[in-house]
Amino acid sequence: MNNDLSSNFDVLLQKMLDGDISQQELEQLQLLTSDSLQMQEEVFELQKIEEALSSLHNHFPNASTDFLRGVEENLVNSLQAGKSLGIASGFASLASKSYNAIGLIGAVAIGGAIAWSVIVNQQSNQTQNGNSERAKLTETGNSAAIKNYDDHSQITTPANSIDKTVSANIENRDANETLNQHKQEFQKTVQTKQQAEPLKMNENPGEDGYIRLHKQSHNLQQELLLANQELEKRNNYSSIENIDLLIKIGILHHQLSDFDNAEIVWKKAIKITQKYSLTDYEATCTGNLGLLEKSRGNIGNAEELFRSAVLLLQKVGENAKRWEGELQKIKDKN
Amino acid sequence: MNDYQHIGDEDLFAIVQSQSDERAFRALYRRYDKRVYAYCLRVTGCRESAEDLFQTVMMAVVGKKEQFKGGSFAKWLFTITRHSALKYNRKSKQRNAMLSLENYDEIASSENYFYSDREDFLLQKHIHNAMIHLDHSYREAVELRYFQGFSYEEISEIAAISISLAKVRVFRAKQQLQKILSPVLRELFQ
Repeated sequence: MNNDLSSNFDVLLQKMLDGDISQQELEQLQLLTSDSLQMQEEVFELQKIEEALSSLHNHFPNASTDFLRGVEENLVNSLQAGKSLGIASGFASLASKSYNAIGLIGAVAIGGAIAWSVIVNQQSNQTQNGNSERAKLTETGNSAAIKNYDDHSQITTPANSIDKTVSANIENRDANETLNQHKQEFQKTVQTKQQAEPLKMNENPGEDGYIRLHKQSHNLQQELLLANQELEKRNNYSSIENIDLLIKIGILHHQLSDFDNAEIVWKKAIKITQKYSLTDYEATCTGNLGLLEKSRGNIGNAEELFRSAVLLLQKVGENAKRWEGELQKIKDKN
Repeated sequence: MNDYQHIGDEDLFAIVQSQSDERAFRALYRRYDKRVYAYCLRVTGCRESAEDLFQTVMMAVVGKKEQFKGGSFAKWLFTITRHSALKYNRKSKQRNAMLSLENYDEIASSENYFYSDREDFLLQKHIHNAMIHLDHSYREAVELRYFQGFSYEEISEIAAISISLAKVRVFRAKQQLQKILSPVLRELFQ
């Protein structure tokens, strides 16, 4: 990696792009590039990139609001728990000073008792709030929302926010119950989806792995449900606006090892891309179909599809590195 | 939360530090949640990883709140974000390469573009897609400079490098982007 700007051209170019160039330096740059069309093109293209990049400030991808608010609640709980522990330890310290005559053990016991009461109250409040929220969801009968709540509420327990010595038993019991629940649900997924290769069903993923894999699969299913609902809401199924969504739905099916549905969706997307001559999207879908064939073990078909994706991209002057890489991998294996 | 609208980041965080004030925390969190998430998404290239990383960063901010000793809060926050991202990327050795490009398409299509000019809109989209091909340090430099709007001085502090190296990285990143996007640029602007 070159960490210096060795050429005068680069130094001047950098200054120009940063808007930090003097008139004299600008003239110097113009003189340097005057004989070279290639250099002039480079300057022009870099200026365009600079303009586009400069206009990207504060353009942020749309994060899920539910997710951001969920994390926010998490952190507020953690913050409040920290505050309670601070108060509790303050009580313990005060008790230690005031009840010096009673002796250290007594003081620790008093402080500990207050700390315990603060923590238990807090846990109890959280549990009560949680239970009532869950009860509301149960009333609505919206299983997806309940699952979402359960998933979310599992994340909400901040690891360092509760006094470990006091709550160790509670945590262990809850953790075991949660783990067993995850294990059972994961096993169910294994039984119903024999071909779920990406989840590596034949391997023992370990305890953390069970939780991770179940959550992963569960999240994907949730996402797929939402994406399909979104698609249903839209009137014209073959509309150009649906391509992104169809590609996404295909990806989710593929991740869930539902190869047949992934294939159907991507093929539908290809028809739309052809209708509107969106070659780069067509290449994406074609390449994705190649990945799908690869997952099925049909390497010959996969190779053909990757090659088609490369040709499509080359046709429109797009970077085909992604699918060329896949072709290379197949070659390397052979 | 409106009471906190006109309070600076550092003062708000001082209230969080001293009183664990919930409203101050929420106000500050909402100033930065989308920015930090965007950084996480661009450095990981996938939503699931970005969410993991985002939670890690935010927990670290709360956990390490006593370590903030003044200066710019944004700089401190992004130093934590950057370190967490580096650690996260080191840990996830096997990234899901299959979806990388498609995810970048997804990122690009979910941006709020304000450009009415089709060429500029398309170029922005291509820049997002090309970002994944940049070397990590270049991608990071572009992210901090253009998407997050930090000065070279601030980048040098966040990334613990010299100002001149920060400038060089940003410049090299632009050169890499230009090389990748040259055919597109020709098509769009000639």
